[in-house]
Amino acid sequence: MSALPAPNAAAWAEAVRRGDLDPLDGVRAALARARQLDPGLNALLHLDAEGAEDAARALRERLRRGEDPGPLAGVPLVVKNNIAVAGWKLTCGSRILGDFASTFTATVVERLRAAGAIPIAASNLDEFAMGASTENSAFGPARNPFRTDLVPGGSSGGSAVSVAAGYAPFALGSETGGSVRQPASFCGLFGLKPTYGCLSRYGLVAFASSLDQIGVFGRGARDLALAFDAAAGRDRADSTTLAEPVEPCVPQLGRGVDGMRVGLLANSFAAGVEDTTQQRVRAAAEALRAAGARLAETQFPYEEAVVPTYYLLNTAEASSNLARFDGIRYGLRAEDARQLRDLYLRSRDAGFGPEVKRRILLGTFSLSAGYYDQYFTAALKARTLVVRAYLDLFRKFDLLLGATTPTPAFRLGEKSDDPVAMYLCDIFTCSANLGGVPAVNVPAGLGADGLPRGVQLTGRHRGEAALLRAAAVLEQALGGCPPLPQAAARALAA
Amino acid sequence: MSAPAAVAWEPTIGLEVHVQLATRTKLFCRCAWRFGAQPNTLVCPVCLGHPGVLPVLNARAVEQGARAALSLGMTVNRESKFDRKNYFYPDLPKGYQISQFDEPLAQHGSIRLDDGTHVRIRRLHLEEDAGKAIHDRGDFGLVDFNRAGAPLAEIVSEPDLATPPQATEYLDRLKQTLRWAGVSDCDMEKGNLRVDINVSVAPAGRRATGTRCEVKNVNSFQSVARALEHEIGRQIAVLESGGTVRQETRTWDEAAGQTRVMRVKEEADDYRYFPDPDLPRLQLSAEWIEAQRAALPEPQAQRRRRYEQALGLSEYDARVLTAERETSAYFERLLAAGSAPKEAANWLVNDVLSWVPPGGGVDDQPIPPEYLAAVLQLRHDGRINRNGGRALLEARAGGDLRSPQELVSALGLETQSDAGALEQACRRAIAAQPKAADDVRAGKEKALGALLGFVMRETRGAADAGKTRAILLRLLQP
Amino acid sequence: MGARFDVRKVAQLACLGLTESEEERLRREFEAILEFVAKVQALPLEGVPASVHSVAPPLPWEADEPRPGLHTEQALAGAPDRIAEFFKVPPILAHAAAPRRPEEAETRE
Repeated sequence: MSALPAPNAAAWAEAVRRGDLDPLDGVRAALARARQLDPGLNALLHLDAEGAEDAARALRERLRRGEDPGPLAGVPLVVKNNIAVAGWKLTCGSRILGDFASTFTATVVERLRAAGAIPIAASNLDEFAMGASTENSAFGPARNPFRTDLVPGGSSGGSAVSVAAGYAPFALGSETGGSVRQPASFCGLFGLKPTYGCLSRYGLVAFASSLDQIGVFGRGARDLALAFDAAAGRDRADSTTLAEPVEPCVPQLGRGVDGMRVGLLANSFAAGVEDTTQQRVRAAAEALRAAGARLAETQFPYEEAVVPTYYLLNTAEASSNLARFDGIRYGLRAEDARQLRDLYLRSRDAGFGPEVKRRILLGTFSLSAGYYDQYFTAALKARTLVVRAYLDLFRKFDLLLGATTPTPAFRLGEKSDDPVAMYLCDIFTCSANLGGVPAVNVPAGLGADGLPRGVQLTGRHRGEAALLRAAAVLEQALGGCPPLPQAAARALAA
Repeated sequence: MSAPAAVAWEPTIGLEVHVQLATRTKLFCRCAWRFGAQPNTLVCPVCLGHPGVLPVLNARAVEQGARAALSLGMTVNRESKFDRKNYFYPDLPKGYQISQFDEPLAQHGSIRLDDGTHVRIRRLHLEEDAGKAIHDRGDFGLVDFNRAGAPLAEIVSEPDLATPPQATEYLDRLKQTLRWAGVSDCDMEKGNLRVDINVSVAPAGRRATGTRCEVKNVNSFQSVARALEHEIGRQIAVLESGGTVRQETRTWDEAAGQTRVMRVKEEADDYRYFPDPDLPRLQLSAEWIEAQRAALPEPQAQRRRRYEQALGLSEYDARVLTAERETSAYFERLLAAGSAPKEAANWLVNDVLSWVPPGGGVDDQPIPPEYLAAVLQLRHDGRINRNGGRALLEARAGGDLRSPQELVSALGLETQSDAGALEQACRRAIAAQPKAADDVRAGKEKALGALLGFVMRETRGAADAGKTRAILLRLLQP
Repeated sequence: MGARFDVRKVAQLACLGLTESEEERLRREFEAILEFVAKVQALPLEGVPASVHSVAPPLPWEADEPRPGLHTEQALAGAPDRIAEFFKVPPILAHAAAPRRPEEAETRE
């Protein structure tokens, strides 16, 4: 099996910058690996070989002219297919968009390109990012490279698989309630959900606008820091981006955690969280303590109500955000509709999958007359409680440590018939989206079952620098991204 | 047969007016917008509702909305927010309209009518316009999104109007005020101003109001009066025949001259308003609001009074000069250039405005204010007479772009102030008209006219009348 | 919590066509889902303000300067159906089930 020329994005960019790696060779290696492995994993919806090679040649020219090729020079990037790249089909994992191709590129992709990154492919996802397994894609499920009968997590499963299987050293996903951290945990990767408002949402197809945030998968804390520094900051096209300049993370990455106060979330040691995961969280706590952090156990309140709050909010916003898919201006249109109403009903019935319909219905219901206060307003108030809970915790702590998910990757189909069980996958992740704070999954090795485990660090509002410093400490202590087992790698390549 | 004592019915009328604000770009994207462009030429991914786009507020639209509110005596709120109004329609690209639901930009204003009625204005909020769906073609409809996203102010009155003429007067005042403030052209033919009517009737003298109907699709001020007459008559007829008025939305059928039911209350849409998560709360500083107030022109009535009282203009001139904001602005520029008010008003009203094409404004005629000011200066300096001034205006109107100063010499319009030449002409006049000369010597100053006329003919109008008169009187001193 | 989830009515409001079997399945699922989300109501929400965002800046705005948009052909490129420079749609039938909008005014050019 052809290996990639560098183990992570940071090393890849260094090799290109030093002239040790020709950008075109690098991109071709990535494309070759994707072509070889993806038939078994279904992580990608399309490759842009031509565009990627053109970008690599342009970068080569910049290097030849002695220009700075950027901190992510030549690094191949996989982009979740709910993020717009001009000229690429933008499917959102749905049938309803048909052959729609975006006329513009998302701000975050533009900024990573300006930093030297080269988008090579669009990745598979749960339809409109609604799901926790990538099974809700209209284009079939993606598979976990560690064991292909398991899900890679979701909704950014395709991006996670692309990085875990080595198509590219980093990838963009999107987060609404854990859609980067959970698949990062299932696939043994670093996965960052930034502070709400740090990364522009312009070009990210809206699922739940007040929670959505583009996130990054990488193979080390430095990968996340490089991508975050390049992408973050105010964007005039997104009125919810924060006005204050964002503090760069890369220069602080090596400063360690000496003296940091870390809250160890007791929620991770409750019934329903499997033993190995609990052990890894404790191991991570020990590692931080050993590096000089002060640990104390604490509890995140309202645990029972966090996921329900999250579902009421994300469905209400989604019901409105997805109203634009009506078969009039673009996308799928039902054949032979005799009148307009019929066209709407049939196009949307044919275009949306079951989970999307479920959420549109719940959201429409909770916003409707007579139920609005009981459901939607109650959820808006509950969000205030979550925001306050974080403010309280971050008066006492600089970081929070806990599990990312209660269990490792589950089997395909295991939770498909039980929406509520699937929703509970987000129990440890969605509170950070409700609170708007940054959080990261740090891989914590493989279990005896050969499956990756992860731990989660949560930082205070705009606290990415501290968050990634701690992630770098844990990377050293816990061994970083686990390699694919030989057997799995051989099976994939076959 | 004796009819039962007729019950007197009293209508209660409220108006909701949508006004397109005068801006270059749309409310939430930087697409230009204007009336009458080719279909789907003023569109972008944002106003077409493409996936992945986000709204970005137009600063000018907020300014114009605030100025509209302030010109109506309203309070502009320091905080307001944008909400989504959810419904499906082919001209609504996102499946929702961004509007303001429970925290509007401004509230509490009023308009006073001639009969003293105080019509309260409840609120003014900003919202985006829809595109245009044309579906009277039978088996299909066509959609143009040029207008989608254009900025609208919705201005809602309290139900303080009682008669159709009051309603038209209210609308007329509203239109005058908004045009004067420069916030909208208010051209109903271009859809700049659209009216929805709320009306109910109840027995006179009772404080209770009847069941309300809403009438939409009313496209001119005359139609508002007609639709109201019809709808009030309809409701009275229903009540007098012992029926009850249903709460419903009706549409005005201009051709048939009647209102028709569009839908009844039970079918009312559930718009599921909720705060737009793409748009944080709009916060306006007190300083910003005061700056908008300061940017408003002097109110129309106040300016009219000032023209009459301080500048001494005739009532007629003051009215003409304050009828339109542009005319008044033109006049103000003449004053700023130092022109004498009465003279300036005279020339503007009698000469310049005669070049305004039908349906146009002062800016559509060919004489710029700077040009007229220069002409007035030449007059003031005595270098040209009134005929010379007219000749200069005609030259400009005819497309001659030379300055008035150049034209005075080029066209030989300079008045003859050369005392020697003028005195010669006067002596010739006295010689030619001895009878008139004798009369003047005898004290009949009226006879001076004949001599003056002779001099004017001699000099082809270039003589300065005042100087000529002085010379003649000197020569004819008894 | 007294919520009556009328799948058909909500689907009409959301413009979602559903088959009979879908409707039946959703009716069952929503019993569990509504019970699940109702847990929010057990929180101590008395006197708590509603938050539309966790944290958001004051609304920024932009100068009223036009920027080029899409060419008509780009705008219509994805249209499932068109006539000349217009998007084409089926007729709107004026019966109760037809979609409605507040300004029915623009039916005439």
